[in-house]
Amino acid sequence: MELQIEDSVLVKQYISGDEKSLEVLINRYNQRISSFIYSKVLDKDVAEDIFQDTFIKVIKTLKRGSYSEEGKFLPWVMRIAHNLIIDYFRKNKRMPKFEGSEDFNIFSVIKDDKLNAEKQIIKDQIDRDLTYLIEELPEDQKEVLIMRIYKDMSFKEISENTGVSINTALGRMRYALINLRKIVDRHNIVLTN
Amino acid sequence: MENIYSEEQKITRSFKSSRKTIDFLLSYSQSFTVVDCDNHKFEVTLN
Repeated sequence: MELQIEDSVLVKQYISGDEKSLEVLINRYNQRISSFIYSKVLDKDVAEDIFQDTFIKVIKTLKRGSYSEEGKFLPWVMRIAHNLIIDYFRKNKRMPKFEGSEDFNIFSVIKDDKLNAEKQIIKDQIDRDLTYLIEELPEDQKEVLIMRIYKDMSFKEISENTGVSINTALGRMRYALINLRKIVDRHNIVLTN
Repeated sequence: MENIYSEEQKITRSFKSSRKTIDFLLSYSQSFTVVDCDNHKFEVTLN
């Protein structure tokens, strides 16, 4: 088994002048950080620019000696990337601008997707009922369903958090949905209006 | 199913910055120095 040098050790070595340690850190987290940025900006060139700016900040902070050892390296870099993504959206004001003309009015083709007051009340009621139904599920299925639906976690993240394989997590989710339907049928519950 | 899921993840999310960017960062790092002088820190970028 190949031994991996800890991030904190690499950071210390880099601060002491070992440039190679930075390369190891960049290569170790290139995919995770680049993918994170890309998933937000959805543009590979922009993602690469933000990745570059992120590490320029990392380099400056480490060489200035302002890096605090309290936190972990990756979450710290992710936070820098996250802030730069926000800056990017602020600068670019990515909201599409459109000015209507005499022939065409944008409001004739777009609509407000918000629910009206009555539908909102019904939706809230359904959400409440659903939480009661979820409580009836076996613990392992409930855990997966809550992570997937309410915490918006991927099955890979669920598998890492629960210590089971992705296949098992997928299976538990499937059984959770089957069981929810069974409970709904058994009690003649109507969840939609 | 696991394969389909992993493939989908790869298509939608996976991205790696290029070798060019990494090389730029490594040269930037080599050229960037902080000089400490009378409790003042000066940043120098050498070409």
